[in-house]
Amino acid sequence: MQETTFLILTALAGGSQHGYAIITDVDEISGGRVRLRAGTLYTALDRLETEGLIEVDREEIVDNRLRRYYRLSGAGSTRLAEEAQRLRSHATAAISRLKLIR
Amino acid sequence: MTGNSMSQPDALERRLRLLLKVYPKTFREGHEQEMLSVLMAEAGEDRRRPSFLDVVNVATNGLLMRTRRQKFYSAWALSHSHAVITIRVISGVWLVILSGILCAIGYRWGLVLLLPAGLHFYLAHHLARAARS
Repeated sequence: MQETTFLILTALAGGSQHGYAIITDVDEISGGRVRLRAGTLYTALDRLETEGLIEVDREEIVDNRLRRYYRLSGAGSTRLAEEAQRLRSHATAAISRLKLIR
Repeated sequence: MTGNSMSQPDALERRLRLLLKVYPKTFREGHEQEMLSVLMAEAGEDRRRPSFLDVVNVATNGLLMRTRRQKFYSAWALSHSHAVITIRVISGVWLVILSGILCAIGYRWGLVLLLPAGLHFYLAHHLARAARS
């Protein structure tokens, strides 16, 4: 799973969000390292929706414009959990082999 | 600001709408407003045009979305696949024969015809696979 995908799913794991909120959240989660741009975000959201990992939660009208909120689907939740476990076990292996004290 | 007949947010929005036309129409119908909100928020109040990186990002992703949604073969090609494949194979074989004749007569450059011949064969195979699935 790409890092961008993982971060977007993680952002949504905290609750349903609209596009701009996802960008801000990903920025925060990654400690300022990953600042998604509009094009990248909506291409990713389109792909995730096609794959069934996210779905539209609701739509609101804000400032005369449509605002769409997305949420994790059940499958998305499961997939994120698996990926998080995988990354954690890899990280644990690295840390223990480097004999770092955590 | 004299002579600036359009207020800045409107000029920005106009340019962003133009930029978003890179995206396929169906995608725009679903997402234009969302993307406009994000792009305008990113630009901030005092900008007359989107940032260079935003333009590159939107343009690149727009083209990417176009390729995603493109069906490689038309419905006609899929339903008439046998005919199309036959014509492609015959064209390919003919180009190979022609290439051989040209070489034999002394036109060594005739070998270059093997390239379009190969392409015909490859596309025939590709269509055969697509029609089967």
